[in-house]
Amino acid sequence: MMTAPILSIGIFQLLLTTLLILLVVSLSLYENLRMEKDYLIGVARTFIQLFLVGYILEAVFNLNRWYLVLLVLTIMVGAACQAGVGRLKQKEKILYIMMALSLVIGSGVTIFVITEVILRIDPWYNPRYLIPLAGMIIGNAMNGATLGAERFRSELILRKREVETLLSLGFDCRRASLSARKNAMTASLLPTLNSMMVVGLVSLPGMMTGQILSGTSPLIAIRYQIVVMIMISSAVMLSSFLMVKLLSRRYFTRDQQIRYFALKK
Amino acid sequence: MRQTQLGLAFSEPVNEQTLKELTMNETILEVCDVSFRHRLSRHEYSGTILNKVNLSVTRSEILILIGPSGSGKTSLLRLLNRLEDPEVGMILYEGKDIREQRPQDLRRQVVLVAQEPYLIDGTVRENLLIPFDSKMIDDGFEQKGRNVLLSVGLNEYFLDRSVQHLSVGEKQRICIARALMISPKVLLLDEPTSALDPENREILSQTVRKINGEEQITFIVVTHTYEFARSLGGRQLTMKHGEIFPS
Repeated sequence: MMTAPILSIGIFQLLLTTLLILLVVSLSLYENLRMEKDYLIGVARTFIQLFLVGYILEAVFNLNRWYLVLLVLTIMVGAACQAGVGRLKQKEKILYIMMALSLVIGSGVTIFVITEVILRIDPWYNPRYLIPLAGMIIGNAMNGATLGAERFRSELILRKREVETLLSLGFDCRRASLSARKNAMTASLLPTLNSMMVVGLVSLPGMMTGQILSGTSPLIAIRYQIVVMIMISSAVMLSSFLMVKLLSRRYFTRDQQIRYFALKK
Repeated sequence: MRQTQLGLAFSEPVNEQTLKELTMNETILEVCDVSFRHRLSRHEYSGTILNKVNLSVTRSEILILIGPSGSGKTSLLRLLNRLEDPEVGMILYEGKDIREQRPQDLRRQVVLVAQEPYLIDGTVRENLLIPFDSKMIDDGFEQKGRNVLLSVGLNEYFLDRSVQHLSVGEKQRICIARALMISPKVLLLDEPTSALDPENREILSQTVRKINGEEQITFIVVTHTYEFARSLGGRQLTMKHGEIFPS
């Protein structure tokens, strides 16, 4: 491993970013974009949220207790559910439960394989590894589940005639909604697949950049990045599969009928 | 022992002709006091679509339901195919409540041909084979495909034609042919003439009569065209505001 000195950012240096902030605000004013207020709120939130998270993580890392780590993971899943369902057009309570189930199982399986089988972290809840990895996994799983859910519903509305024809010819809803399901799951995996295709060519991924900046050898950083890319694809696929599966139960009855009112709203 | 819908029981061999006549008079579908509303949400419903409908359909008959749009004709067909269930009442198919039958099996016997034909981009052959799993398909299907095309008045050369090049009338007949591929006992035709000119309407009418005569398939045809209804020559009932009246 390379032991390059780490350049730490002091408070004064952090405040120097104001120069760049002013540049953005000036350009917004110059072009009359009226984005200054939103941008400054964004900057303030970036500072406040990240400082808060930094202190919380530091405390969790120092205390090193499994229940605190699980609490952080639960909060992450809760926030992801809220954000994920918030992006859907339908917002019924049942969708929060479906999203939570998809995220817990979809992310849980991936987190377990990564931390306990591949990295074998010790102790099993080591927050320095578990929290950042789980954060990435849950965030991507949320994107996958949300994309899958939204696309599945719009495909069923778009393909209503096809689905009804297949049902009326004696197929079950699984077969009748095959195209809709396929398109939904493909759509959810596509962004991850696209980034896998160009990873390292167009730009260095955030995590790898962070590791290199903090002094890790690029040869180590790429191994982590490979693991990260694979774990993201697995979490996305698994959670979108589960979400679509659960939604099928909402959109179809046991008697192989479309539950129109659930689809419409 | 054979028990018919008419309640007659035979313990002795019966004359074949008598049996055929009795079978012909059997009730194949029975709608009992059916009311229906669309469900708009978990607790909300639309206005009444069907109101205490009673209907008895005899095996091998052509029954025509005629009436203005919004009278509940299409909804009734959808209930018979179990795409939806009635809110109140019961539907019997061959004497059994359709809710006690596996929907997939019922729909392969009581087949609905929707108003707007749904066909996949591809050849007529591919469309005729939609109801079957690819593993099940063998040479016998090719012959059956030719036969059903002939039944709907199209020749075997249509098998390799792309559906994109077919007229609306031909597409409608391909949908009927596809339904015939699964050897149904009842065919439900929803407004089959809505996009057809008089010439194609006449062809479709001939097709229905021919299949009914040759295959003994029961037809329930929904239409708002009186001329087409008359040309089919079956029993006519009128639907209005979700209720059925004799024509």
